[in-house]
Amino acid sequence: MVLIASSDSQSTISLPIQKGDSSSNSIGKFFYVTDAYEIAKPAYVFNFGKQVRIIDLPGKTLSSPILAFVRYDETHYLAECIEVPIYAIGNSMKESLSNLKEQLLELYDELKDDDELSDEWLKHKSYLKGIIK
Amino acid sequence: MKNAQYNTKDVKDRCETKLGIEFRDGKEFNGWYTLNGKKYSRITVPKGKKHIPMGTYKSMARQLNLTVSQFDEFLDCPLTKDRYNYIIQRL
Repeated sequence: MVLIASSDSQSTISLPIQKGDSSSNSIGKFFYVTDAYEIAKPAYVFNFGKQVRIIDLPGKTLSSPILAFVRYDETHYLAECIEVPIYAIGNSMKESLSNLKEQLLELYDELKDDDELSDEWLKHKSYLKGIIK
Repeated sequence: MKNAQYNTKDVKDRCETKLGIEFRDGKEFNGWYTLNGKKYSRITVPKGKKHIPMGTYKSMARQLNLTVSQFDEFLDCPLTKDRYNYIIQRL
């Protein structure tokens, strides 16, 4: 059986998925598929956090997913981008991811016309420009 | 890790006074650390005077390209701007 849920348990949703897209694994874990992100790995992989693939940004198209990691952090949910050093917090997993998307867009806008960047940030800029259309 | 000793306002204040970071107001504070005209680090600090959970504390350290103990030092004060410049230029 395939389990599909949104980030909040009270708003479990069903989405049509193709066979093989998502399934319970051998030890009964499952990952999530929503309209905005997919949880790529079972929760136990990262200390009960979840690796998430962000597959859309408001008003932009992504040529490939942006990997993020979300977990509960004492008082709130913490969503961190894996490739780029940004994070966002929220009262729910969904809110933290939504805030992370805003951070990504804001960062993209800040970087796109700026070349006065360290080598590390030039790489981040190149990465973001390569996938955000 | 000294996240229990400092709140978000402390982090923002240290970034402003020690590194000269100017934060942009938004949903959260975002600011760039610039050295010799180049942007080296971008830090996000949640608004208000809030407790910083461990994960968020680590994320802030990561954004400044510091280890957690270096970030502790930075907040404690021994980490000077010159030493910070030395650390980030070695990246």
